[in-house]
Amino acid sequence: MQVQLFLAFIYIIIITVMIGSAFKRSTGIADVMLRGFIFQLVVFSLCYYITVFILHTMSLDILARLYLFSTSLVAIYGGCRVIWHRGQVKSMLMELSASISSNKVYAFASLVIISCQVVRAGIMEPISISDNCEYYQVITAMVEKGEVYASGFAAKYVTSSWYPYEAFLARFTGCHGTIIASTVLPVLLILLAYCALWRLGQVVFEGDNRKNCLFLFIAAIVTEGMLINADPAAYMLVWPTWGKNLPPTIVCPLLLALFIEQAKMPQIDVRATVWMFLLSVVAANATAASMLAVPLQMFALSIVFLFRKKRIDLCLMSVVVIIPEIIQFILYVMFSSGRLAL
Amino acid sequence: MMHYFELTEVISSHAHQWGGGAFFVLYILVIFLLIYNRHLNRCYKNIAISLSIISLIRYFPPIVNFFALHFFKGHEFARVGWGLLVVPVISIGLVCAIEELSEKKRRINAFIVIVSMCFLIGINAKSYFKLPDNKYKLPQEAVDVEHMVELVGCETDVGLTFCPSSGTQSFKQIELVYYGLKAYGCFDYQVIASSQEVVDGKYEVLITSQDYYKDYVVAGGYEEVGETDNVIVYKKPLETAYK
Repeated sequence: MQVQLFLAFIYIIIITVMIGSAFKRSTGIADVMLRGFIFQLVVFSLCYYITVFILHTMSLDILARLYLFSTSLVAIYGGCRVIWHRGQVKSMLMELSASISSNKVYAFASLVIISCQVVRAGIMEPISISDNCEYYQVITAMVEKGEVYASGFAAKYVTSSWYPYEAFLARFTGCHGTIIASTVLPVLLILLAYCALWRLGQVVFEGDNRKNCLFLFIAAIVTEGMLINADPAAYMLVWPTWGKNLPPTIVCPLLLALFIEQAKMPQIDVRATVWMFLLSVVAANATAASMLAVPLQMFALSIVFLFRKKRIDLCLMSVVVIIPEIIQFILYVMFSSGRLAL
Repeated sequence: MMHYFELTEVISSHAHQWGGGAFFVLYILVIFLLIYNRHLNRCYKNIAISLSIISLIRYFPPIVNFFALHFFKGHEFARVGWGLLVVPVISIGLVCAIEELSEKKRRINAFIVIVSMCFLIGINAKSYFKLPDNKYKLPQEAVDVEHMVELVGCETDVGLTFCPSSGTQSFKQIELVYYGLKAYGCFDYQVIASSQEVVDGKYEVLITSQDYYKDYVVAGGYEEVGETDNVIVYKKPLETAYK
């Protein structure tokens, strides 16, 4: 089991880095990890919709084969790029070193706190089990039966490919579903959440690494402090693999970062819009709760710029970005009202 | 339209959200700090105003619930987004505040690190985490019960019955065992409310809480397989079970 656990960690981290390296515009290790993770989830979501809604099959193996075929090509290309452009890797590591050197005290302090949070999530478990057992049961049923949502198709799961993704990882790596959900993925998700905050800090502080290190340090402290009030913002540390934690910890900070970048430019960038759309797909497929969260964020951001800066392009961009949530809403209502049967 | 008393009921039912008032107030203060910070690009003032709108909706549950209850049928719509952007916004604002202070006092950084570390130590995160009982991070009782059930027979030979208990704590424990078994992978078992419903398999496995009527169970032909701190596991060949 230790070997399988080790292989699961290696697979998830390496495949994320390889896929993230396939994109030319990746700036920094945090960006590589985030792009790799987002791309994986987007491809898995597409495969999920193809398997369930088009092929009309609940087979987890068919979904897994579609996904592995799609991502393996990208991962191999990304791996070749890493080997071919070794200089780029070196420059990313040097940039990381420069970032740490710019503010050594806060950089090391934040690395220590984040490392403790990550190790704690991997080794320990939350005292309150809460909904964990329900989600573990959903994942285990899928792994044992080899069927998507084998334990039953609730309305809130119909558009969510997050738990089938966890089940796929368990089946593919040979680890028990609960180990993937409670030990392997929390480590990756907490790291990615701080990568998202680092990325946001790069935009807000306009590349000032000194302030960004301070920002990351403060964010780690504040997140830990949220535990006092059992605030949902701290659930990232306690139950990171719940689908409803993915949008607020990873997707929404990245959407905010990309929106700020777009708002600072006179014209919107199509590539950035595409990434925002992909982020929205990830949020829509992580949890039904993103039906309101992502549109709320995009509405609030764009409406202010519309009235204060007359930026209609940002509003149109926001409408495009929330299309996955609109589709999610339609599917949710159709399934809840019985008009859609699976 | 929601009446006044309904509104107060909704507010009181969401008192737990207002319990995060300290961070809420900090969140709003930080947004105003962002709006009036002279070091930030003017673009961020619009971002700060946008975040104010999000915070009003996020932290004002009656608004969200009004729409959820009256226009949508399902609580998923009321889930605005857990901790939506609270951490980044507070952190950005605090960085701006620290930068303001750093201009005037040189030793502020060391002070901040020391205060933060004291704050971290004082949080006592031990009250939220514990070392797991097993590698699955499931209740150990569920894993132990699973091993006991495996001793009785293979998955398809067993019908599982859970007996409720009068005590709330015992019911909670038995619920954890029930969900823990399902999380472990025992969903193939027939889980039924009473022995009268057992129709398949060779054995019935009965799981009761420790304070259930042991004599009554044994008199019914059940044989004890094992027990944990909170539950007892019995078995009975199905041909003698009630049909």
